[in-house]
Amino acid sequence: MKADLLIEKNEKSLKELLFNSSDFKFSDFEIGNRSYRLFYLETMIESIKVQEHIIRPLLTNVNGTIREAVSILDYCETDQLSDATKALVEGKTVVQINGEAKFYLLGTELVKERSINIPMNERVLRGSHEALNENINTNLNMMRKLIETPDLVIKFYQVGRRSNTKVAILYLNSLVNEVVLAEFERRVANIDIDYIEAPNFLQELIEKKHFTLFPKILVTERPDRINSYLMDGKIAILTDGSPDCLILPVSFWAFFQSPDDYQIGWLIGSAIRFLRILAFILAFSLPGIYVALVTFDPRILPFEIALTLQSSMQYIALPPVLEAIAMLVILEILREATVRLPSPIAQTIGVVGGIVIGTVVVQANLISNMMVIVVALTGIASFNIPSYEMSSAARLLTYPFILMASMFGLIGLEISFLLLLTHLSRLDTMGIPYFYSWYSGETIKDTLFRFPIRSLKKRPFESMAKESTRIKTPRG
Amino acid sequence: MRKAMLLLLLLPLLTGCWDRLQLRKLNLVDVAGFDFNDENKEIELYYLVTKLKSTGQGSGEATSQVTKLKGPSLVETIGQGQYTDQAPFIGISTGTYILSESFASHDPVSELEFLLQTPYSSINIPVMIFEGNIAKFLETVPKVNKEFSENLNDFSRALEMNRIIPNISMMNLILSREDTLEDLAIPVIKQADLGVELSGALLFRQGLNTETKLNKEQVQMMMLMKGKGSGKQRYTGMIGENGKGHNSTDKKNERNYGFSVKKDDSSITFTSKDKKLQKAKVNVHMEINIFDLGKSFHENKPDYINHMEKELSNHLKDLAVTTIESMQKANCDILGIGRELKSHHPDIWKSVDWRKDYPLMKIEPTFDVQIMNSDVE
Amino acid sequence: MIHLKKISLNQLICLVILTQVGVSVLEIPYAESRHAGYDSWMSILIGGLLAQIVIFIIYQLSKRYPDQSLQQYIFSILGKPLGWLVNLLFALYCAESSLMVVISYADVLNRWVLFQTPFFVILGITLVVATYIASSTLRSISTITQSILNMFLICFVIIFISGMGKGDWRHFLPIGTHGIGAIIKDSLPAFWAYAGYELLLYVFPFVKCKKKKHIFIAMSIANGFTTLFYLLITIIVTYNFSESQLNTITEPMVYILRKFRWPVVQSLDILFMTIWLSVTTVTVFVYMFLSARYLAFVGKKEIRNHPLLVWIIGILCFSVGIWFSDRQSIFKFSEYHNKATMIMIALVPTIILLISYVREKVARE
Repeated sequence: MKADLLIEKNEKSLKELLFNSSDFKFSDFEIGNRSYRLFYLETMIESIKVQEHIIRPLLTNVNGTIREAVSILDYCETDQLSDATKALVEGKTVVQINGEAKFYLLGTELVKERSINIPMNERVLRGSHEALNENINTNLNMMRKLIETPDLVIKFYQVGRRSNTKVAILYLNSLVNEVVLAEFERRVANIDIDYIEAPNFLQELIEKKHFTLFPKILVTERPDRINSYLMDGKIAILTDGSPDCLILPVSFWAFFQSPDDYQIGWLIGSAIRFLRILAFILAFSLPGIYVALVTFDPRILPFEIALTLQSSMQYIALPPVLEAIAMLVILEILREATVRLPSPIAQTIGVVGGIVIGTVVVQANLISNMMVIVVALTGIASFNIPSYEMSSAARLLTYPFILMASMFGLIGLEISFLLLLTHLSRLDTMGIPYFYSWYSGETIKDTLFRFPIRSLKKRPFESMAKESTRIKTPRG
Repeated sequence: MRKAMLLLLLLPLLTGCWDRLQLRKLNLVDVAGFDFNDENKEIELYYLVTKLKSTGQGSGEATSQVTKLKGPSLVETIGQGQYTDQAPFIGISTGTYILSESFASHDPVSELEFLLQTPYSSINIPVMIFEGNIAKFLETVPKVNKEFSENLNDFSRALEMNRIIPNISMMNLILSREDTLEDLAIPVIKQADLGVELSGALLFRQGLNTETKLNKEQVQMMMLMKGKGSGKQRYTGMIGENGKGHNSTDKKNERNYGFSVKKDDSSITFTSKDKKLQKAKVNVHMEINIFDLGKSFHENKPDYINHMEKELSNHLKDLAVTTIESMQKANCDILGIGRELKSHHPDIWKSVDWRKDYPLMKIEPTFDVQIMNSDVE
Repeated sequence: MIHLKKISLNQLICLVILTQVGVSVLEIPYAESRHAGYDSWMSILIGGLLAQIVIFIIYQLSKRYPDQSLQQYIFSILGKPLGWLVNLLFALYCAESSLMVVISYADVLNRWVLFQTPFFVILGITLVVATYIASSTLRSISTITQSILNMFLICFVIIFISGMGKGDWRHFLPIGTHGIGAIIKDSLPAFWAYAGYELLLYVFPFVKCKKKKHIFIAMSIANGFTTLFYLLITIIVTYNFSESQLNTITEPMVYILRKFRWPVVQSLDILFMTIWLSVTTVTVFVYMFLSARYLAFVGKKEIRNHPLLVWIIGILCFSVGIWFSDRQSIFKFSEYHNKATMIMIALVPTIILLISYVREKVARE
């Protein structure tokens, strides 16, 4: 709808378009023979900018145009009411001179954000301690500072019909694979939903339907990690209002990498990386192994161990399967509770939950102490994994493994392993395989172990980068 | 993925879970004793079941219970087990098998053969022969001595580790019947207060009891001649003045000796004429660390050391000759002479009928002792 | 979308090794020592050599049509109706092989690990898992196989540690007294144990390599590794048991595995047989996959629905397999199957190769 000449009429139309929001304000002043009216949403503007850079220059500059007077960078002219409404909602000030059917849109957005803090969920010993925050412009600024080359391309999208959330896609133009990029941009552009809440809505809307526990897109809140993945030729997605960044395409092994591995020497880094993967395997199979050994195949245990286990289980009422599942559920309950506890109580409840429940439940002859050891080890091992999604997947995987172990013993465990392996091998992100064996080709250098930086000559296979050599001559 | 999970879930839901062997319901058999009752020609089986009571904080008290089963043959006796108690007896982690002498003399291998094919049986457990009344022993001692079974199991494994006599597992015993060249010497134990002690070895020829026993000294000799004597154990005894054993009447001139063997090599050589075997020689070369030579050590002079080496060699040779005599009388080839002959001299082997010729063969042991740790320059 | 279809040389080697090694690991060298006695290790070596010769023949055949697999170029050699027949025969042979392996191993499990579980349950579980895996793409299958190679190496280590110990090297001496005739006669039962390289007939165009010769080298490496493995087992068994003892034990490896005793774990035979289940499942699903691929080319057009074919084959195998729950019928079946293997793997590719040579000569003239 076009703007009207008279201010009063425009004011009425704008008020209707904004459905009579109470924060829609206007202020008039007359200078010379012109009367100006400023329309704005008082919750969105930064008053100092309006006062210093719009009202004051206008007051002094009597006869010039608004463009000559005002010292605002973001300047736009329009005569459509819809544009003016959109600008108002974004926090811009709309100026109209009475008698002109033109709106001047001036950028005066108020920016309030959390300061840059240490990362909440991804702490490391060595490496930067900066994390992304909720403002997309600050995040993009951090990324650009880390990669100061014109090769870094940022593309904006507006996603969500009603929420109009800003989404930014970052990639390095000389490395990224064009096919993957085109496919991905097509998918983002095709999202048709009311509003998205990053990161997970975006994650689920982009990926094909795939019934799986495992995360296929990596979520991180550290700019240094995003930097290293961009350098590998991957694509990063930032959303306004969320401090999490999505990285794709990733492989299964990326979920076990942490910046720590690369900052400490390669031998120690390899050992810790190997430990993490061992912890992953323990996390889903240890209760299953215990149940299988005790229920089905005690023949494998030597006599002394069998005797000790037998005596610890002597007076327990529940069969080992139910013990295991009950303890695992209690562990999950404890974990969920500690996330939601207000901080003063958290420590106490942690002690109560852990020590008291653990001790008392054994003394009441409900659960054997071997089972408490097994479950505690399982829980701790699963938290060794850097990615929260992956560790939750590992913890949930335990249950089917226990069930299969209790039905067929060690054979059941073996079958479950095979099925897990198959499931992982069939997954793919956009045609790129998700899981590959740890020693196929170049990948041996960064999966179970981390080889020295000098020998990590090629980029990882799954990013399908255009140029895969990283290092030309490592030493002079 | 979904199809496979559904199908897999269907299978057990339809039927049930088999093969469950719940650990806490098992009776873990620690020691199994086999006896043959001559009066009523029945096999008697003793299971020693051990349980740990009142565990916690790193302690525990072991209690053992003995169950006795009777039956005409071993297989049927074990079958009786399911009628006497609710929990199944599982010999899966048995520590030792003890056979009584009467059991061992009534063709034990045919009775024990079924163990190879049975599920849940443990066949790599050492076998020992008990000298004395096994029924009284197993019914009285474990009740009084709480650590009996643990000591017995440790003892049987220590025999092998300290190289006193190698362990014979049940599988070796059963399979020895198939091969003409597999003759075994099974350790014999007897009661000593509330425990057991080794009293020698019983010779088995191809799975049949030869009723001949070797005493402890002869067992030592056997180990030395087989080349397995080196290790922690000590060889002690007495030498007479002229190299005779302590049977000599002149007790005052006898000397003690004590040594431990550092290296023990033994080889078997044959001399033959016209493709017929004349005699076999067992050459043993030993390097020993001596710690007692009768005279105080620092008085030893070099020629005394040489003299002692020769005396020791002769003394050991005499002992070996008696050992070999008993082995030949029992027609039992523990030293592996037959196997050596077959592998290295197949043409001579063809002309020999081993079981007939072995007792009549001339076997000559020679010892070459070298004392390694003499102080003298 | 990117779809990767080629497999690397590394994956080819893993596939071939794991398809070749199957159930027979527990029975070697019983069948090979019937005539050769303690010289069965030489029979094993000769078996490996025979396999190498057949690999060479198959490689030559595949090299003539480097961009197509057997199902496609058989039509240009033999013509339509005969080509269909050959495809059908191969499909039946592969299905029969996978059935053979599944039944043998289910029987082994039934006798040593799961005693009371009904036969059809063990059979059913293995077949369901194998069918599920076989219905994926070749790339997924090779990834899975590469990961299972790790488990194979664990089993290798287990065999090695339990085998060494008390034994006698003199069981091997004197070497060679059984005579060449007996040794060669005993290498024929080993032929089925080495079968697995015929997957090259299908896989040849899908291997990513710089030169085609590398494929031959990779296959030879795989075959060499399998030969080494079988040789090691034979040596361990002969070291532990003498010839006359071996006559009475049909599955010597099981007793050897039980020997080992550690403070933490004993009776390694159960552990070994559990982990070995994965390795035999590789053989089963590779054969099922091949069978479905051959079956897809029987008929006027290529049938594209691969998972459907695999499930049909799986259900057929299950229904036939239930009848084989006693050991006697398994013995008979395996003897028949050994002969079928020799014909299908050795004779048929040779004949096809000769026909294709002849055709080329005729075409040139």
